[in-house]
Amino acid sequence: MSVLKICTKSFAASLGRQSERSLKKIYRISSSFRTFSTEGKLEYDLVVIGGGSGGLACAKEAVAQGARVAVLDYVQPSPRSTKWGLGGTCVNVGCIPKKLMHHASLLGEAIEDARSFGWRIPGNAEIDWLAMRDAVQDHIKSVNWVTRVSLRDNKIEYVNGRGHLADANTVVATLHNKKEVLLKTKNVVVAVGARPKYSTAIGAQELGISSDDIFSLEKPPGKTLVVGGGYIGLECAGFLNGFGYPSTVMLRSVPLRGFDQQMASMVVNEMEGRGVNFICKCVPESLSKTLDGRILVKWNTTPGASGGSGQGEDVFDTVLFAVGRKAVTDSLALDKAGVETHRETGKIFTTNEQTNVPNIFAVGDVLHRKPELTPVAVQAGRLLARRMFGNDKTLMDYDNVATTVFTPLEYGFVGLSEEESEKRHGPENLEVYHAFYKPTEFSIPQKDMSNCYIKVICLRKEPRTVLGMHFVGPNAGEVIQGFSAAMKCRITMEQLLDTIGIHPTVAEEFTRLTITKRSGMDPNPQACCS
Amino acid sequence: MAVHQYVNSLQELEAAIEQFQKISMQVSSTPSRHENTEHLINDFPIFIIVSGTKDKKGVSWCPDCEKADPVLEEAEQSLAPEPSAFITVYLTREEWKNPKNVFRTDGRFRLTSIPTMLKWPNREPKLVEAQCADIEAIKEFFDECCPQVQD
Repeated sequence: MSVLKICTKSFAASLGRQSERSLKKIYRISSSFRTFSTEGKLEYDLVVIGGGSGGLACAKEAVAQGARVAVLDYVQPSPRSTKWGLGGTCVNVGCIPKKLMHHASLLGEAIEDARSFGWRIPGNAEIDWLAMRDAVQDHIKSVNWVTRVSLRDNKIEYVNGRGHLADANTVVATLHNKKEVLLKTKNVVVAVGARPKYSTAIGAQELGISSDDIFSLEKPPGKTLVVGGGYIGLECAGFLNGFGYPSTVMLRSVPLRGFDQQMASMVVNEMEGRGVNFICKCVPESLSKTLDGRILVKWNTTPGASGGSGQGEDVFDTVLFAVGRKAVTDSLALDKAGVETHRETGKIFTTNEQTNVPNIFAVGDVLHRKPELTPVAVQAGRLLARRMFGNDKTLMDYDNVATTVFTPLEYGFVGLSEEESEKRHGPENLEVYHAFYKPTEFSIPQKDMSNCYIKVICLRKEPRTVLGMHFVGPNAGEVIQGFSAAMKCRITMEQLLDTIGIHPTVAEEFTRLTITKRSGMDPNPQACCS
Repeated sequence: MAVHQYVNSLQELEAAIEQFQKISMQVSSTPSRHENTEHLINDFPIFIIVSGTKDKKGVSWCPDCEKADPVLEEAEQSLAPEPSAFITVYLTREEWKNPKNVFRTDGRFRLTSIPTMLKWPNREPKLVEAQCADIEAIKEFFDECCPQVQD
């Protein structure tokens, strides 16, 4: 039995009045600003511009050290009008949704593999894009909320506004309703991260999407062209292909530029084997709408390149640009404080996260020449806050940071690539151990193991310090993580080979390495347990 | 001003939601958008509170619900977006303790505790347990659910 506590007529009448005023919203500025006018000034020890991985870690640690802190966060809508909540790139349009979609994609494969293990599975597994997207977005929203609650619990002032500098000690926050709030502060940390670039092809911005949009796309992406061969492009093409959407990757030059190229080629081979189409050494020239609402893309050979797939055109449902990310420093008015940035990338020059202006610092993706990774931003932000407000003098160590590319067959590594090792030490001073291996679980479903490969680069001279460890295979992130701790301890080849493996795993392959590239012997696996 | 309905089951809840949506569509100032209810989610938010039934003395079997009651009432009066609708679902102790209770199992809710307040049809963000008695948390919740937009 329901109890109606309202009179429908009077309610409708009041709504009518409301609608006369065009459903005018009532502005509620967060409580702490209620006592301030637009000329109001607020005093802080630290204002962090950017509520992402780096900014929040820095803010929380600063508060723990006794500082009075405010965090500004604001998301400029993408060209497709996509927006999101507090937490930065990682939580909303990066690591988290990427890993979830990658996992969702692999689950589809697992369902098929299950049959060979005896599972009776009726029918064919098909992805419901909207159901998957909603599940992912729900999780993101719960993280947005937890982040927000956590800021409040930590007594950090949160301002949902766009920040810029008026001078080295004044941050101006522009709120949704265009009102401005001035925050006077002793220190500033810039942690605004970066946003996807678009190609200069005609129609790119109007018809293309980016990683900002893919994780909340309102309809299934269908036949997709991913422009860009970096990890974002490959990861997206990978999970889209896994969901059953025909995917093509267009590479301007090489895949995973700057990464170990031999490992990159394994990753690409695997994707090709799974049906991803690669267009090499080409750039898109134009995008245009077809009569039935799809996108016609015309491309040509990259200027100055030779070989490659050559000129062509095709029709797609979705075109995703993953051609690099630009630091969001343009609108910060950093020049008002004299902070130096890179002319092209917009990234900030820092030494130990300090800019050329003594009280202005930066962490995260906005830094010039530092790894663009969440754990790097978090650690750097935390250590910075301790140096600023605590007694700890520890500096951030950007070396030997492990990372993983979450393509269908994952690539995890820590340390130097073979190319970088050769550049720094010379090939004659290196020993490269390598092996192909066969994951036990791949045999029964007859999965392709031809790209399951590992490589360890070490110095030839005693104590044969390990310079780099590279792994292509399942669960690469889990496999490599522990080894990065070993690298931090400067593990030697002897110590690595002296380690007893866990059997049967794929990680144990690192302890079974015997073949070097120099020996010329066959790195393919012989028997299993010998 | 917010309006409030009180129901005792999922069917009644669904009926109440439909009722609110019909009313707001009738008076919506943009007739061209009648085909879908997307804009109503933000123009006319519906908040759902799942709580414990009260006994003859008006006391709930659920202590957190009891604590949250006056705070939620205050929040509805002074903090809720205007206009908005509230629907409180009252569950008996037996209903809620049952692991198969529809509010635990239905994909639209998947509640793990009461009281819970959420904005229809989202699962996140939501206020749970002690948060429902925390006026500051409720303020943040309304901010997150119904972000201020420019005129």
